[in-house]
Amino acid sequence: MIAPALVIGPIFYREVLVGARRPRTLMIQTGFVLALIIAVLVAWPPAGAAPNVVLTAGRTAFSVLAWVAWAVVVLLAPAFTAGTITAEKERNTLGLLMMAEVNHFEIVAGKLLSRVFFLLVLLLLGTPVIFALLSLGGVSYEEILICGLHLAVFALYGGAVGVFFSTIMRADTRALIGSLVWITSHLLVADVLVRVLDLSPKIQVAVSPFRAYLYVLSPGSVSATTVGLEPGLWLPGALVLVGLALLMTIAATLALPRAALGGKMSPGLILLVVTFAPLLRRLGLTRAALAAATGPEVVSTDPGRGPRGGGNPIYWYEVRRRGSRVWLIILRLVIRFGVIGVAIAAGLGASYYNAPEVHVLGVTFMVTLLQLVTTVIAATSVASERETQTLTILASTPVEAETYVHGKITGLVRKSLFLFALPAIYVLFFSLWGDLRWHSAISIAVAVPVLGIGSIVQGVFLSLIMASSLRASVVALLVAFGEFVLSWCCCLMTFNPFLIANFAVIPQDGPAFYATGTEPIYLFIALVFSAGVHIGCTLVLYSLATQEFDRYVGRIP
Amino acid sequence: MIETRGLTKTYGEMTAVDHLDLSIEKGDIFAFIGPNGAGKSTTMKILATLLRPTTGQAYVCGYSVIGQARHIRRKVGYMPDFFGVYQDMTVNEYLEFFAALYKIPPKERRRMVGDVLDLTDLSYKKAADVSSLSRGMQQRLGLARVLLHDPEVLLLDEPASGLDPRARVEMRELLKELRNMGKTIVISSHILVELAELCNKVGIVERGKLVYSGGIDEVLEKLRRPGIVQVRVPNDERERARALLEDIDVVKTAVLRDDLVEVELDAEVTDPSIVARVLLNAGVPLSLFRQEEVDLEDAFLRLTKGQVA
Ligand SMILES: Nc1ncnc2c1ncn2[C@@H]1O[C@H](COP(=O)(O)OP(=O)(O)OP(=O)(O)O)[C@@H](O)[C@H]1O
Ligand SMILES: [Mg+2]
Repeated sequence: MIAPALVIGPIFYREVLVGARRPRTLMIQTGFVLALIIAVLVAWPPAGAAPNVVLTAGRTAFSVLAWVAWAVVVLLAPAFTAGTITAEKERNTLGLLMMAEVNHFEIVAGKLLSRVFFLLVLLLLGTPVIFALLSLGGVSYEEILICGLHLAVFALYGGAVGVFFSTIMRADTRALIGSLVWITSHLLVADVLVRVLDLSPKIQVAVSPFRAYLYVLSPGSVSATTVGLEPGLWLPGALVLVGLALLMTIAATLALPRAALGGKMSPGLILLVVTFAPLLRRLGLTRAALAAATGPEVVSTDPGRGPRGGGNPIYWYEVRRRGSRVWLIILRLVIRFGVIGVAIAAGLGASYYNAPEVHVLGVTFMVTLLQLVTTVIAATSVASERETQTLTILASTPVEAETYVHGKITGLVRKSLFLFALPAIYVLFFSLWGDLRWHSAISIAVAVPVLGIGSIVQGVFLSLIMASSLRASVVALLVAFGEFVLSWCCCLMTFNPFLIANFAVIPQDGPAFYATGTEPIYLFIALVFSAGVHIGCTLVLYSLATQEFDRYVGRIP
Repeated sequence: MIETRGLTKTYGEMTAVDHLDLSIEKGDIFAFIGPNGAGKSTTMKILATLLRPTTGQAYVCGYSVIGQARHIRRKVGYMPDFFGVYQDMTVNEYLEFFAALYKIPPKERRRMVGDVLDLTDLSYKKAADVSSLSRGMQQRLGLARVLLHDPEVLLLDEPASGLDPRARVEMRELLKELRNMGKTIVISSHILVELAELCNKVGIVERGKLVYSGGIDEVLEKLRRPGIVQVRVPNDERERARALLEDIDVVKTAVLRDDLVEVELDAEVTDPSIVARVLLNAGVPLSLFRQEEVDLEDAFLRLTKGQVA
């Protein structure tokens, strides 16, 4: 430990020491390795199987493991770092840290590298399992190493995104939402872009991290002409991610002084500054741009109004908005119509290139966004009140379980209504346009509310039983990921944005993994079945949340 | 109004509240004092139905905290020692939010909020963000919130912490007003001088056990040692005065304490004025002559052993 301490500095050293002592670290590591072992056991061929069956099994197992590891890295890297700077802000220790003789870059980089270090340790723990696959064949040392490199690099990038949002946001959960939205958008937008523009494989792997990883796992699906893995195709993607990680870290460093002062920041403007950071630096405008992005706080003279009439106060609390200024409302509307416009423009591009997968990707993106955002805001809703100790006084009032839970859920639905509407608007538009068929709209109308409300109830429930909002959101995300994986096996499409998109967009072809084939009627039966199961689960969680409410919030029933 | 019987709360090995028997009547202002970690906050939390006692019973307004908690919550205003405030909410919204939680009819909310804001002198901060208030103002806002639903019983855990001297005086006046309105108030504080003039009953706890409970005047009376007289004389006369006093035959001891001379008389002496007479006859100027005073602070120090749980 001494050597890295000298190289990377005291922050790294302290974080690694403290982190290694947490029982949570051990739990995550055990869980990860167990998941890998189970995955391998499932894929392991029966004794005495034919050699080519064994080879295929080895290959399949490797792919499954690699994708599980990738999903874990994508979800966990920002989750590991999203709380780093916000925690210092909450404890008011950031100022202290900055007054010490450490330069700002070192603070940010130390935090980042220490957390990424844990993720790398996690991945390293999985290597024995992966190397066990070598005995099956179908996969080479080289492939495993390159795959590991890509994972490590993505961990660095995801971590840097987390640290950046942790610097500019006030609460760790907002930082988490910000980083997840950023990363999903990056992955999906880059992927859609290279497909729509039909770029050459070399550029594809450089622009889209997803394509780059896909290339490592199955080179043929990216570039038909290559034999084995070519450095010219697996290296650029990794290098680009390292560069982006560095950029994010620099951006976080720039925003750090302002963060210590606790000012409000506009994430949008900061992101603009970040994007043009190298240019601004050259022009000597960094400081001015940052000052503009973080502008002074506006002191309002409007006392505001509490809950109206006999309405549910908890609902009011969730959906209330400060700053009901006209220009803010207009700005919000412009952004919303902008988002719808961009989505539809992308879809129109797709129909020009006649690529239905783009519709699938677009709908997947919108539904995933709904799932991610609702999951995280629901998971943080109660837990953050617990963290700020506002739950105690709430519990001392006569508020009833039904009022509270119902108010939370309806409030969160209202809050994310735009995300509910987005895929519906998209599908409706393209049904009218003629790209999609009418049952697409019906599937969306059924599946999206079920998934969204399901995620919210699930998140609120986890939030009630968990102590910290960050923990609740990470657990809720992992549960969502578990459902995503399980739903492939059980035909439960409403749990899985990708399946929803597939059903909605190309049901006449039937996704390859459904033997039901060409009859949409079977798909509708599957849809109804899945919705039924999903609604059932949601109702169970809802009644559990209301019945055990007093116990969860810590008061005598 | 409040009654506990054998109230006990344990955290693992640690007993935070140990067979506590309290009895507080309607209109009482009960001072709850004790060293850090004595179990005051824990007791208050139980009374506020936020913590289940391990054994024992507690009744508030005739309802048991176990089984009838929901009735208690309607009648009680609880202000914890530490409480968070919401981000992005103005003072007015905050109070209207809680008014709605207490099911105050929409028409009355405005008036109620206005009233408690006036009472706590926060009206001018109506539009301010709750999280931007200073610690003392947040404390006052906490008090305002507790008063919203006109509760019969107030449980205030260290309400004066973080307040400046003027605000403390104002808080005391406010509590007196509430006392006159007939409310029952349980208040814990470490600033004892303030409690003495406000409260009529006191409970002293140490390590979860009740060391004393009863009227405040009684405890002070009980702790007063009758035969002690204190006098103040000019500095250069102190030693001579002490020697003179020690020579009187009804005086057991005479010692210098702070800037006073403290004289302990024999128990049977009923008229301590001999002390003054001796000194005046010897030509020693006298600027103070009094029987020893006991205040709540002394009571606290004498009844507790300074054991911190
Ligand atoms: N959640 C808890 N878990 C374990 N022990 C606790 C818990 N809450 C309180 N205690 C312990 O119970 C004891 C009583 O605590 P309490 O907060 O009631 O004291 P207090 O009289 O309010 O002290 P102070 O004057 O410092 O506010 C302490 O020793 C404390 O450590
Ligand atoms: Mg206390």
